[in-house]
Amino acid sequence: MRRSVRYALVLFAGFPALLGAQGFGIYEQGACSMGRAGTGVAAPCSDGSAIFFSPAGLAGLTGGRATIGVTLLDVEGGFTDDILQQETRLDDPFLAIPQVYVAYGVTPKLGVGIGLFAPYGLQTRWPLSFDGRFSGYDNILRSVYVQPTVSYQVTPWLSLGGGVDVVFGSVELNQRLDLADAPVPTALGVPAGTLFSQFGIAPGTDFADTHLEASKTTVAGHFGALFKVNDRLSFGARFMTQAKFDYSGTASFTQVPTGLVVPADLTVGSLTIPAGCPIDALLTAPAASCGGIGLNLFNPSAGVFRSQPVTTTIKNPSQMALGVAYKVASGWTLLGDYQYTWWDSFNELDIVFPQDASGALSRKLFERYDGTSGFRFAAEWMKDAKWTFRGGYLYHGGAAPAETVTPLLPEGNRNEFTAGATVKLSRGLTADLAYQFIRQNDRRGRTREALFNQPATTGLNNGLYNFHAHLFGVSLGYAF
Amino acid sequence: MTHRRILVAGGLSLALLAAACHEDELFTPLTPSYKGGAMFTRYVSFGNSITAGFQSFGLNDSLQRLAYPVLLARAMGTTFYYPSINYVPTANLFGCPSPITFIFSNPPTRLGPPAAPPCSLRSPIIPPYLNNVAFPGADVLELLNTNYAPPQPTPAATDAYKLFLLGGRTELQRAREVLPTFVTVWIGNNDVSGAILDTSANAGTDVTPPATFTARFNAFMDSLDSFGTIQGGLLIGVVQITGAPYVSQGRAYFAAQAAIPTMTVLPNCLAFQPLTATDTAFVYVPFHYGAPIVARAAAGVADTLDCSDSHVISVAEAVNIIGTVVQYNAAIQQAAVARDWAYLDPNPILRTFAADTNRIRPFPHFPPNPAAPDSISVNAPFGNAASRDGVHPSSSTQRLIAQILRDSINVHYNAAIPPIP
Repeated sequence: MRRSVRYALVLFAGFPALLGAQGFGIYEQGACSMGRAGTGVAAPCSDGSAIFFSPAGLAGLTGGRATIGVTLLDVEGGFTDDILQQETRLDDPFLAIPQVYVAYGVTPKLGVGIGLFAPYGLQTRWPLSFDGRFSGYDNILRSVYVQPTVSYQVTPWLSLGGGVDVVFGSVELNQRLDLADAPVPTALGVPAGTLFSQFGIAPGTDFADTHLEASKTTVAGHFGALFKVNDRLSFGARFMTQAKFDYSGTASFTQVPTGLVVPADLTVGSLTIPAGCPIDALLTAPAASCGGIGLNLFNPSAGVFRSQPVTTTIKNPSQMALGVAYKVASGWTLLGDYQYTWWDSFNELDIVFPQDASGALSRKLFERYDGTSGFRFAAEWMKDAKWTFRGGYLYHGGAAPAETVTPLLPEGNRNEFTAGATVKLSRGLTADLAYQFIRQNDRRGRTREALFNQPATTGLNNGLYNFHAHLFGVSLGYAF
Repeated sequence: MTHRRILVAGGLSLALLAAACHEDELFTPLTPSYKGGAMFTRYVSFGNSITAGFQSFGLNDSLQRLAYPVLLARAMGTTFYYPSINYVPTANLFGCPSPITFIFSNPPTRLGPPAAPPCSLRSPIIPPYLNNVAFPGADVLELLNTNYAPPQPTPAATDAYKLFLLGGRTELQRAREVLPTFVTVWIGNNDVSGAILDTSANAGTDVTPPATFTARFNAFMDSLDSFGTIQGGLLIGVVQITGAPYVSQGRAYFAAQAAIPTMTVLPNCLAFQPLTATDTAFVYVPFHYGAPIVARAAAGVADTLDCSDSHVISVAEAVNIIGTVVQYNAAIQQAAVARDWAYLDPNPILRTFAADTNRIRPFPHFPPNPAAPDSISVNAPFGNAASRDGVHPSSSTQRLIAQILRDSINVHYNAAIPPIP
């Protein structure tokens, strides 16, 4: 059993993607709900995904349900810069997001369950030729929620449910460092704040590769209510609390050769760097070819770019959904959900290197996201006891303000279309299939962060991000 | 009814989707709107100190912004970045180096106090790429070569600009980043300028052989062809460097001795050789050699200018320099013709300048009283067309060059680039 739990976590470790909800939210938590455009807080699917979509929806369950599913993602996107009109394509791999739900009706009024899902996360991978590599070329944010849930039918028309989320979070950031943007150590006799670019180093001169990795486990809560006005009409609501991660991890640095050479004797302050000195050598230990001058930046015990602790705080925001479901007739059900996510809690990102006395490494990223609304609509047709078909549409706004559309998360307003079907394979076995197309509006953005930890402005925007994705969901459910 | 609603909803969704697809207006408008403007969307200028904006043996932003490619790009209406050198007098930053303000002192007086740093470094606002990739000291080999790949260019003090202006990359490498649609190339002046600027003996022979120049220039042009983005260009010929006011004909010194009793100029300074109906090769005296003689004589110390000295450019060396430039320009013109690019020979313009002694002085305007220089010796010692170093164009000449290039481009490409602003 312990082994299988560990395997499940490993599966989830591969899930992140830039997906179909605002910010770095992910809403594709089951093939049935995916076909419904994520609606269902008022009438959840019977596959156990109510644990996420409507925690009160487990009440009234007969017997047990176990569902395992996967969503396959083909993400396409890119950035076209203003001046050269050259497009760089996202390099995201074909991804798979698994889901697992187990639910059981203990009594006609009491339902329990446990689910593993991932409502927040992202992965954006860019080629190393992309100018945005200095903001991050392979960024992964993982949040795996394990949610034991209890639901109780308080009255025939009201059910309440809730669960505690144990959230396993991790973050990984890979980026290049641009020598042009790096400050020249004052040991060379230059005024503080002098940048290598002032010696002519061209923007886009990689000199170090940074890998930041941190993890943290935290706790959140998830609550829901379901109102059945009559056999046809129901309303639902759910609220998931914020999950705050005080990440602590390690940053490691690897030197990247620039291949540059000082072309003529260079007098800097009281020092003279001789012609022929390789700049890569100048950045490391003192070398004869550089007149005995060396900045020791990569010294493993004392260099600025030694491996060292790093901390940051990221909040998965609270989210709320309100929904309605109405059984029209002849097996037809119409569903509509409104979702609000408090993305304004994703305001600033402080990446702190507590052991870096120089202060050169710590960064403050001003994200300044806005709260967002999502509107989801779906129709479902239960053709017969074997087949059920569904389709939907959703729209949501972008969380990132115009000045924060970056390689880390180039998101924006999205229109999404879904279709799906459930087929009963045998008495206890059910399969769900779903397809979702995500079309994000093209959006102006930037490839670089503002220097000196300053807030960014739209003046830094230098091109256009585009994004779309095809999602395929499949799940198998077993009733017991 | 239900089906109709679904169709309406579907239609609305498709309309939203279609609207999302038309985002072209989100791009910053780039293409100049005048006739033929598309060709100038991304303009790159190759060259040396003249193209970089170097004046009075100095470089800073106040000069760079007056360089002909910057003015031309402004007329073109195209985004154009150059590697700005700090010019912030309030911060004691005057250039790299700061330009000369008075060339007759020893050493020449430069802008700013003596304590100012010799190089004020680049502006902290760094452009994403460079359109003006020219750097002072560039010859045709250095356009092609990485800094240390063989054959190595002869080391020079100006090599520092390879780092300060180009970040240690070549002009071709920096230009390729821009995916240029139009280029101007003015290279080759430094393949002959050593003959007049090099202070060592026998410098008059310091020229790149024409065959070598031609091979390198053609290799450079082949590299440009490999970009695959260039729609057109203008190649500028090499100037007859003996026409620069930094060198004076020996006969000018001979005439000047009449006003300076303690200076003797030997008759060998009158030597010359007719070349064509319009060109004649003379003996040429570089400023760095002739000026100290004049200064000493003016101070009452008798001195003699002997034009057989190896620091003076002999008639034979001048003939070689002039002939070499003619061959350079034939190769450059041939490269332009082969690509149907525009070609401009700057020498007819220089000849018109030379005919006006206010523009190009045949003999430097030495200050009558070095302790109290007059305005001409301070502001235009070599004439209005040249800066205070006698080699590089003045601001007004840079502007004139831009205007001539604009006219040539418009004629050759049937374009309508507006006048230089």
